[in-house]
Amino acid sequence: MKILLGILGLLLSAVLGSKLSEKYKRKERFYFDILSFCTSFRANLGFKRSTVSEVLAESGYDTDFRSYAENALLSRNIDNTQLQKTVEKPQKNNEKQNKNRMFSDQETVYIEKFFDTLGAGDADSQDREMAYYEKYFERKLGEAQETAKLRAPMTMKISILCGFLFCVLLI
Amino acid sequence: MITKTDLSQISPFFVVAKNIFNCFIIYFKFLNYYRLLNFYLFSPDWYHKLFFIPINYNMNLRFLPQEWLGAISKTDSDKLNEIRLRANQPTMVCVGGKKFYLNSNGVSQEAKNALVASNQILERILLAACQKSIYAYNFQIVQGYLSVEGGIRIGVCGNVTMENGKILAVKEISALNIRIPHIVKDCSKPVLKHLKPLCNLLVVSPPGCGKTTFLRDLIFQHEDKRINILLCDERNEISASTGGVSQFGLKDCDIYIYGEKSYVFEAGIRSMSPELIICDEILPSDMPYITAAAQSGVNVFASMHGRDVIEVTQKIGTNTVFDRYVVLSNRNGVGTIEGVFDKELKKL
Repeated sequence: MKILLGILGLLLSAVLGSKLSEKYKRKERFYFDILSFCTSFRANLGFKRSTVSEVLAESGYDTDFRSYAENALLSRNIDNTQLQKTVEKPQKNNEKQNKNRMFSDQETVYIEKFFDTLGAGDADSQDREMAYYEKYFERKLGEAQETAKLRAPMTMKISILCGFLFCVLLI
Repeated sequence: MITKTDLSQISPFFVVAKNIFNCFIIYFKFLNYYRLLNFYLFSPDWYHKLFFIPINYNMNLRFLPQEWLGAISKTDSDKLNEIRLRANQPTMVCVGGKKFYLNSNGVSQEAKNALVASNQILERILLAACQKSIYAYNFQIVQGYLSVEGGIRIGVCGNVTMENGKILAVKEISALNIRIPHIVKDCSKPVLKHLKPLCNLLVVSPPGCGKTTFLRDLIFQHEDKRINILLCDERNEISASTGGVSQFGLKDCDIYIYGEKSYVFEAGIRSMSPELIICDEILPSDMPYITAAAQSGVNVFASMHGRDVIEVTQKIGTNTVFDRYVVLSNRNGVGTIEGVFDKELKKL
């Protein structure tokens, strides 16, 4: 019975470890997606000038980025009642993300500002703003990659070690 | 065994309760009848509801707030031509050529209780109409209008920002004029007999008298005649094209959308070999292109703002390429044909 419980504990700690390390990968993926969106958006500004939602629909982005972008677009909806509802929605999402500590406060402010400025100006001003945000997101992607490289395997190892420790203590 | 009637015999309380209950039933019945009566007789779409005909709300107006959409749905949507929103002013609508105020119950002659849009709401409407992508529509906004789905044209009024004589943006929106197009089948039919053989035509009328609708119907009338028609749709109002397909179902017609007349008349004649070019709202400065087209053997149907033929010929000159003039007004409703005139301005 003890051995069975030990194996279960080990398995649980492994799952927990993978979940925790996934957070770093998700952040990395989010910045990668936002950067590729910036690139395709700037290319779109130069020629096709499709709407923001059309550019979003063109590429296959990860669910984190997609849901963030869609919520941000919804928050600018014309319907006042819907507006009130949807303004709360991204905030809730952000709170959720902050709970997961995926983004720092400063990062959240930058990302929100990015989505606020999206589509709210002429092509020239949008291009300049995209260039500014691109630099910021590039830096953040680099940081996220480094953090993921360091912390993701470490988190996994620590949680598995905790599982082993639990096993030893139990047996 | 105690039955329902027995209960009322036992206590007077049950008698009182039964009477109160009956009163409520009568009240609710009356309320229902009143609602039904109101529903069928006083609702503008009562015939749709009575005969179960689906109400065709203009889904292309989705950029408007819910309150405005609800009010518009209570107007006669078939005759709604224009919605005029001014910052902090009552909303006005033009239904069948007549102007009304828009309130939550539909239209009214009085400004009291009319829906009022703030400057912020106007900007939100513009952003929503642009699908939250100003950059994609800025080339139109700087020209003072915005074309959205269904051929709807939104006139934009506000602070104009200029640099080196070029308009950069229109900000702090003060008014929006939403014009809703309609198809009026055969409205140009009375004029057709004067257009045989095919000749150059100028449709003249003040704004909002049905020039665009008239031109659109002329395309419908010439559809099956195997004529190469080239449509110069500068504001995407005549064809209402989306993804290269006209939402009004225009067939046998090559359409240039958002192209300037100078470009369309030159490039179109060279590349599309048209027999008839149709363009809306020409200016005196466009006359050289039209003359060049007519001299190349291409017929032109155009429209121009003006009260009558004399006023228009004062602007473009008497010696023009136009063989026929049609004057429209809204005297007996939008699109009233006041007369057809020949080259010598004689009424036909």
